[in-house]
Amino acid sequence: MEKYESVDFYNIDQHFTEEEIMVRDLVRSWVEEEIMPHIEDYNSKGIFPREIISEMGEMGLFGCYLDEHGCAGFSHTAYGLICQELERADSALRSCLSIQGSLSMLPISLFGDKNQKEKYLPKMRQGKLVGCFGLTEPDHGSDPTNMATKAIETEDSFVLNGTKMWITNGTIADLAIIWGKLEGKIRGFIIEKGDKGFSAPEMKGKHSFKASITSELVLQDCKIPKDRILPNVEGMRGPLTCLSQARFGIVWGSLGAAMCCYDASVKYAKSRIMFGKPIGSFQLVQNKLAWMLREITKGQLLAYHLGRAKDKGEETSEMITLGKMNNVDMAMQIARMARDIHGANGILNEYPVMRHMANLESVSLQGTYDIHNLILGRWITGIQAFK
Amino acid sequence: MNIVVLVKMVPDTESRLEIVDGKVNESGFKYMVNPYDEFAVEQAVQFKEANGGKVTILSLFSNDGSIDTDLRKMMAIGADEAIVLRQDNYRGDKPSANATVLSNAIKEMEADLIIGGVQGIDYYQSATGPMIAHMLGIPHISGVTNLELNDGKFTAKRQVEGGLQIIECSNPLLVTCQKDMTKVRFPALKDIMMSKRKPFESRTVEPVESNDVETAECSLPPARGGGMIIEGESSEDKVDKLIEKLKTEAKVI
Ligand SMILES: Cc1cc2nc3c(=O)[nH]c(=O)nc-3n(C[C@H](O)[C@H](O)[C@H](O)COP(=O)(O)OP(=O)(O)OC[C@H]3O[C@@H](n4cnc5c(N)ncnc54)[C@H](O)[C@@H]3O)c2cc1C
Repeated sequence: MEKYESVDFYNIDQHFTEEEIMVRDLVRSWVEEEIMPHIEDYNSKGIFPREIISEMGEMGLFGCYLDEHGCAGFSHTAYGLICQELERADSALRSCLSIQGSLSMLPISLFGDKNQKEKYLPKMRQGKLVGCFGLTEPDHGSDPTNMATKAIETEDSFVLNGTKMWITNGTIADLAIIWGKLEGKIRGFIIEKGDKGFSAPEMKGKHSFKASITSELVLQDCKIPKDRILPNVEGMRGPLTCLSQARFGIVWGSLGAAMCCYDASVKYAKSRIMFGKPIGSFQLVQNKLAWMLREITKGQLLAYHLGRAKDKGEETSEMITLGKMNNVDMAMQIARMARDIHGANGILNEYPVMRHMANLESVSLQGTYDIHNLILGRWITGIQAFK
Repeated sequence: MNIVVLVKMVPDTESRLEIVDGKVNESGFKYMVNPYDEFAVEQAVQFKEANGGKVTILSLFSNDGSIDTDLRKMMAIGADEAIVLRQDNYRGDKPSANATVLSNAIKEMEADLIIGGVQGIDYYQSATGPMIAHMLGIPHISGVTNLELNDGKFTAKRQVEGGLQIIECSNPLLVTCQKDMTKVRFPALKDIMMSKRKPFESRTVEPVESNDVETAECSLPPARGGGMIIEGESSEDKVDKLIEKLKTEAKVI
């Protein structure tokens, strides 16, 4: 396959620091050498090799914007660029980074105590321990506030009951951050693999995110010691803070998927001959390519600006919401358009477009398009329309 | 052990090649580290990690600063410092002139090992390394596929037609690396941060006279003509027609 060409129509590169460029290029070359040759195979077999997590850990990607326990303390913008490069290959990779860093390490870092941090963070950073994030339940997706998972406190322990669903990396995880209600209030708990009453069967049959492991988490009178509660948070603020960080990663990741589809489309349009000339010479096809370039460029400016706002601590969760909604929507449309430009070839695994197209259907879920609209609607009008 | 790694900046493989009036138009070129030289950096860093010492990146280039980030990436792999010799009108196709400038710089560096790639992927001359060794009056081993260091003695392996050559040599020594001599590591984010704190020196050097050959003219390979589909009743018929054409039109059989 021809070498991937990234998009930088507005020379946004000039605004990144040298370190940010170096980090991006590192991940780009790792993806190129270690992932791209195998990703279609992983996808068709529905596997995500454990070594990938180790390699990501060795490079120090997990929690790289944290500044403790050996984490690199990089900018959020650098983190965004890493997400972009990972998702250029496959959403499963970005998702893995996101689950480990933003949804498992971050809650421990923000809401855990000293012992919990020392016990888990260094090994998670190195990819030696894998974490997962259990919020969604079979009957509670968009409204996690009404979750059914419950914990009760006994003399020497907490006992949890409930079921979580759609949990990325659940089956291979060494620990799970479980959100459940204790005396009616949402709290975070750390469940370890092997805890009695805890199991994590893999969910099969996905048409999307096939190279990512998705699991159910079952808690049946699962008894854990008292020091496994995250002491420093209560209520939806806990999971939402983490989700906001994960969505920030998606703002960038979805750009990567879109860039991959655009790159494939440009190459295909220039080489595919129909009616005696390259399809890229027809106005309708050029119109599609121009639209892709336009939307990617807008998405890049948005991501860059959001990144810098986050680096200064000036972002709001609504700003992230708008970015996530826009960029995922844009990427989904570009992936579908790319499939169209590729004709029948677009459905083959020789080309990356259908894989991205299917993946983005899942990426769009972490807060659906409409839920993000409702979040913005609430911000605009001051009236919440969720229920 | 003091190791100097010769790193050449060559046009990025994505650069578009355009010929104007028999000359390569280099104005839009982006540059990257010559891939063979990356093996040299990795090997040098491995020696340093095993035996201690210092790894210095030495590069001769123009005043164009766009290459600095790529050189810094070599320090993220583990080199300790970089020295870039900046020369007006630098050209990558003057091995004799470039070896003169590079060897003058190396003379002051007390290097035990000088290591680089077997060739630059810009002009494929494979000349600069051996010329530097000659100018410094030290032995050189070129196109090495495996290099080991034990008790201060180097053992190099080279693939030669139909076999393997093993050479032993003490330092100082110049070695050029063949493709895939060693796997170049992916540095960690921490190493990238560290690389920003490592010394990066730019030195201005004067152009030198040399007896390097001059390129008379460059041209691109001719555009490929269209293919031809041979029609016929049966496979035998088509093969007969093909043989006929190969004899009479292509005149290759
Ligand atoms: C591959 C994959 C990985 C995942 N990984 C994780 C994970 O690691 N951890 C985790 O906790 N979860 C995970 N999820 C779950 C994901 O976050 C949920 O799917 C998401 O929150 C949506 O919930 P739901 O699927 O139950 O949809 P529902 O909430 O049932 O929504 C269905 C539809 O109803 C609409 N809707 C719902 N409420 C409203 C309303 N008030 N107004 C208007 N429209 C509404 C939605 O927009 C949507 O169109 C994952 C999902 C997938 C597919």
